Amino acid sequence: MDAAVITDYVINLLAIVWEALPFIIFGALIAGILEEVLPQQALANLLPKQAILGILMGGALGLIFPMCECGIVVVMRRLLRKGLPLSCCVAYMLAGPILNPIVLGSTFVAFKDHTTKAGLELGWPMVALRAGLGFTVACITAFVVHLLAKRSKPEELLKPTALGDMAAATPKALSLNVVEETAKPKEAWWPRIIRISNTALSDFIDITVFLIIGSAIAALVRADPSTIAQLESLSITEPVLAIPLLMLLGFVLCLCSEADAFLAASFRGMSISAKVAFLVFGPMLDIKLLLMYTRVFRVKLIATIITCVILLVLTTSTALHFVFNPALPSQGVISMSEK
Amino acid sequence: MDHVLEGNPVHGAGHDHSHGHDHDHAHGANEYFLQKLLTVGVSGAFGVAGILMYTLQDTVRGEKISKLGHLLVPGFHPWVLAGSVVLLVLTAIRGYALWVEAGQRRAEAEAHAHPPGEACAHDHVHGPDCDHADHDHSDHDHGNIYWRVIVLAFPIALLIMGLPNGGFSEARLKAMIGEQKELGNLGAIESSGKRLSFDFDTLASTAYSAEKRAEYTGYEAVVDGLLQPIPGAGGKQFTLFTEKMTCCRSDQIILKARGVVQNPSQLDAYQAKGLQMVQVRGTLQYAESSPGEYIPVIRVDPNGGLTLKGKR
Repeated sequence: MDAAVITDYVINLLAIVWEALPFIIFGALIAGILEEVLPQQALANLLPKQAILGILMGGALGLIFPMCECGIVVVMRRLLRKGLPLSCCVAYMLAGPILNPIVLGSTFVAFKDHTTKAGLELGWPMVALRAGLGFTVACITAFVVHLLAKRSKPEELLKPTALGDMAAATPKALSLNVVEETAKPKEAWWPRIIRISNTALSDFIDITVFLIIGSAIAALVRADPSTIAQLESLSITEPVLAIPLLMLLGFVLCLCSEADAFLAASFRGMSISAKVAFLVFGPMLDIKLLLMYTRVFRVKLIATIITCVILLVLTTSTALHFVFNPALPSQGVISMSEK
Repeated sequence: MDHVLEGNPVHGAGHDHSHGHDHDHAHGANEYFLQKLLTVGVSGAFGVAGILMYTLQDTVRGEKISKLGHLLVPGFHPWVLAGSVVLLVLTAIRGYALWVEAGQRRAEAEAHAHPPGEACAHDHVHGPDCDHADHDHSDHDHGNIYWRVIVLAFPIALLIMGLPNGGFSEARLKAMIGEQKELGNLGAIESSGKRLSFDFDTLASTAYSAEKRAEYTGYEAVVDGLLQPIPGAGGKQFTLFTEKMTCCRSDQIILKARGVVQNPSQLDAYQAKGLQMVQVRGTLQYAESSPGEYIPVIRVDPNGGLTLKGKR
């Protein structure tokens, strides 16, 4: 095998890993602090009792607690253990990487110089579309998860690492009236720091392993640089395929949600709806995220989330295509023909 | 409202360690400490690797660039450094706690020692004073630590091998540029007399809208980029491009412009010699490279409009 191909593969792999690593570390640290400091049920008590309202709040949490998609899995696992309802966690996990001020800002910057044939600047519309569709998909998916959780035992949906001591609980027993954890005696700070470090390191190890595996797979898919160009070309010549193809691209590229807007903006010939599908789907589901999810969720729940996200992104993007599909960038001053 | 996870009574007073699996006796103290040491070791190694990625430097075109610089934009470097330091601190704390625990266990074992055959009266229910935070398996799973350590060691091993030591290969960059066809007759453009040194990002963005194209047509543009001659009749055109990272090398795209020289001999020095960094000065115009897509075109000044700056 060509040494250059191997080197390019290594660079792709290392770039994804080292970019994500600081956020996983900080996410693990936050998770450790949450585990130690946050009283059980504290978050659940802050949320509205009505499920839908709670889901909407969970979906909007990303605006207050911005996290990238790598770090959010670690934090979300601890929030689950601390009593935050599963549906809220799923809403935060899916919407958080999109409803993130930095991500929305980068989306604006990526598209602000782009205009439609009618002269409409795409900066703010793309931000609104990405945030709106992302929030919608996340909340609907979370509601489906809520319905599933009402019919399932916790251990059917969650791995032991996310479940804590709830393995024996039944859906009926899981209500607001569950006995709160007993009040802890006031402890010295050093043992607490030790426990925080232990939790943080465990989470770091747990998640980073799957980050590396996911990055290795993603780098393998990207070994041929013409893959992206071929997908782009195919989606231009076959517009019907544009949305699912861009979703597939978002799945395999494993880009962070702050950078994917610039790549989407570079797909000059593609429809707005296909780009939005790419920008919404990628932060919710890609190869490395899928592997990280396996550390938190059981197959049943993962399958539910995947199915909902795919169907919802397809549906909403297709609907967008018929509602808002401005023409390609305007024809220019000079029109040339190539040899 | 679903409350799949409520009431997690961990670490309460006088908690019992019999969680349904007798882990401590199943895999022994040695196994336990080995796994913990591996956890600490690989975490610490990652922390050190992160700091080395930040500090170790390679020379690229006469300039020093850190290992991280091959992979990430500069804005991310402090984050990697900070994360690595945090990881090292956590590792140090955990390592110290492990060392203390090992000492306590040895002391307990020595105090607990009794002749074989003698009944053991030791009460194995521990109170809140003992540090058994890591005995709670519900929040982690260290059963498969060995294969995890191997996976985690992979990026560290690559660093030991000196990787990364550069950006993407020339072959990959050329593949990312794609097939470049020679543009047809480019209409003559009169210089407006205005001069502007463009960064490539700005230059590329001027091609996106008709208003900006009209505004900048005729400018004398000065821009740096990598040169890739275009094969074809005449040999007067070349692709000028740069690699643009937004966050990391993985999201890299190629920004392109087209250069046109009056005399093909100006490009002789760049034929079949690999990618060269050049500075181009000339009159700016725009051309439609494919339906709806425009690229900047620079008519290179015949008097020193093309200057070699170095190899990529």
